[in-house]
Amino acid sequence: MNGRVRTLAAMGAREFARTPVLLALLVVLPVYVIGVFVLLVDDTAVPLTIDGSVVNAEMSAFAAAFMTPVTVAILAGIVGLFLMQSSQAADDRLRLAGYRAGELVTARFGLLVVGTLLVTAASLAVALTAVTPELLGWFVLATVLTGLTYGILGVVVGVVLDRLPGVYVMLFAPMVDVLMFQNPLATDPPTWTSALPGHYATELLFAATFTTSVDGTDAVAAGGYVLLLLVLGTGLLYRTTAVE
Amino acid sequence: MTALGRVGAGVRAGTQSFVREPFNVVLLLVLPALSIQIYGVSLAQFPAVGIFDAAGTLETTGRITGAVFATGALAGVLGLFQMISARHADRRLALCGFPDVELVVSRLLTIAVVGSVIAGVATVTLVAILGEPVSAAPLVFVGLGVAAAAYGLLGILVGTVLPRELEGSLVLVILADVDNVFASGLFGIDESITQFAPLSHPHELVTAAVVDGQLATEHLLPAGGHLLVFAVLSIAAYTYAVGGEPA
Repeated sequence: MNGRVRTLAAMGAREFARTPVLLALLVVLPVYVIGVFVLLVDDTAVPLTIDGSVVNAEMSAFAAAFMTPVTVAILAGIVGLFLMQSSQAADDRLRLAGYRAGELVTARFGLLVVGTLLVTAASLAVALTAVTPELLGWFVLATVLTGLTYGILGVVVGVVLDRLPGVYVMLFAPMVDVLMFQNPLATDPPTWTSALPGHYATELLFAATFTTSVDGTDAVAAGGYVLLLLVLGTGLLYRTTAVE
Repeated sequence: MTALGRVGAGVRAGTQSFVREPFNVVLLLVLPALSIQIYGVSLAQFPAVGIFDAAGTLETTGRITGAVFATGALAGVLGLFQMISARHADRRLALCGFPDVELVVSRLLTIAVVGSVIAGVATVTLVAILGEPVSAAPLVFVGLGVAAAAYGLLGILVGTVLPRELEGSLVLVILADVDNVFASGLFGIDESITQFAPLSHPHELVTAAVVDGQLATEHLLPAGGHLLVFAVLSIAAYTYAVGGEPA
């Protein structure tokens, strides 16, 4: 990493640190969302369909596991969206001042990763008080992949749309994808839902939480999805910042 | 210019700032339809018994949930962004001599006008998509209008307390999403708790109108209570933000 990227990343991190309300929200909101559901759901057993098999789980454990990717996806998506929106004017000036587009893209995605990891850490800290995943490492990896997927999607949406419509899209997309269509309470999900961004990461997450083995292809596909979006996001960001 | 004229100008300006962006108008028309259809399909994938306590079929419940969510979310985000973008302009207008009450009334009426349009579009879309006759469409509009009003006021409140787009959006999006899960009955959370979710009563009002063709009178009072609390809080916060702090 060259000095200019380091400086840009440090400035971005300083901007984060300068907004304590934002940092507090990124920590408090996961606690609120996951905590509320863990506390309020009935402690009954529910049948979950995971990789075609039915597994019974306590509702509170299911709520903790399930609301983790939902929360991370929503928050990372909004952070990605505004990261793009708020830095666009500054990036244009930096570009004119001699920064290369690749340096801007690297620094911005670095900041997105930091934001995603922060949200993920806060979410995991709450979720793990209510559920003990069978395979913790895979559970963490799946949560990070979900966050990165939606964080980069937020960046893409931020490039294509303005703030107001962008918030609408990032309000609906994680809710519909992760909460409604990747829900293991469903017994008959339409096949096309496997093409949605959250599918493979959440499959991996539920297998890691409630079974003793995971399907490696879910991890590869979820990672592939992140890479694909990263290429798309990088291309769009590169084009946006390549202003003369 | 009379007070009525000034309020009218404020409402026109607020409404036009939303309509001026063609993509906003497209979203206003497309999002309710998309949300209603997607929620209908998504709830139909769940087993018919054991998880939900639904008044109608799961598909119908899903579509009602989608309509209520789309209406609330659209109005809420609009209220939030309107408040954030208008804050400084309103502050300057207050300094120029505009009475606070006229500015507050303008903002509330703008939300009422755009919220009514959103509720109207969502009502027409829901009735069209349901594919079964809805005998009480005006009552559906009432339920969705309550959802729009509640979230429009919440948007103003959040936008006043957190006047930055990222922070405000984070809070409003989380509120709307969690509220919608409560209202949908997805986790089977006890009604004694979900009744405090702002969308739960509009959800029940719309459900009663669609399934039974009746007005769920027992939900009118709590829904009105929510509106009153949000109105008082948002007016107090707005008045403080516009007139109470130094320039």
